[in-house]
Amino acid sequence: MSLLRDTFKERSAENWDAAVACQGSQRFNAAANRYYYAVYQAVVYWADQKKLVRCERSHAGFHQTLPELLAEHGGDSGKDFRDIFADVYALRIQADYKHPVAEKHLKRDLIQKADVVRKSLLKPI
Amino acid sequence: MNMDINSAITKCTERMRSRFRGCHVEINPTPDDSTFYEAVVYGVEEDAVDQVAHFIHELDYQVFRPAGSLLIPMVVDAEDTRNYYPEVSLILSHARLQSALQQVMPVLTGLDYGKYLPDWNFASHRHDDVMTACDAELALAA
Repeated sequence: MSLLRDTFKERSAENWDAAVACQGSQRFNAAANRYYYAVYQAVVYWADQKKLVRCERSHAGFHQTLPELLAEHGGDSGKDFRDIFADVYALRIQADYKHPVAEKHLKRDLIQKADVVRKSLLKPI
Repeated sequence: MNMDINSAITKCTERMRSRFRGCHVEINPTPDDSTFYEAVVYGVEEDAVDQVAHFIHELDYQVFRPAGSLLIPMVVDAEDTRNYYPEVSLILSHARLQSALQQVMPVLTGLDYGKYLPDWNFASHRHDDVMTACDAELALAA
């Protein structure tokens, strides 16, 4: 078992809480960034459980490989999860590099789906 | 990404620009990961944002996933375009989008022919004139 696996689970929860708090205080760019990393860390946690990656070796390349791992190994929901992960990634790209994220960009539907993905992936396999 | 897909991206981008009649459409590597791509469409009215994003997701499915990449929609609505990208003047309305998509889809289909978009199926949208243009274009490229 990866030594850091549980740490990733905790960080995912911490980032999600931070995202919700940021959104509540209208810090929307920070919220978008934290939402993405909350999901990202859940995906890494899931992939580690599946022995597809190791948390300890998390690096920039994970952003490339994780979406396809989700699609290929995520079962019936894998492709849907990949799409939601991609949408949250797009939100993070906007927040970090594009025009400012506003309340209207943090659509409730997407955030709810992202939370479902995150919680699903954080379940023990 | 291999060259064939890059050619498809180029053609898709050109055709989308053409069919959206001046609307800014770009497919670029994402700022933090050159293996992922973003499809940026500026000046989209609020009521057309979801449709444009859906169209980009279709491109993702048909072109980018088979190549092991990812295409994300970066749809900039009219308000944001006016505020942050003032050089973009054309606003794409829902009604205009309906018309535009009718023409873009068959152009993408025209890139098919078992090479670029093997699973694309928009037969009901095909227009002979556009298909002919694509045939000619592919013949020239061959």
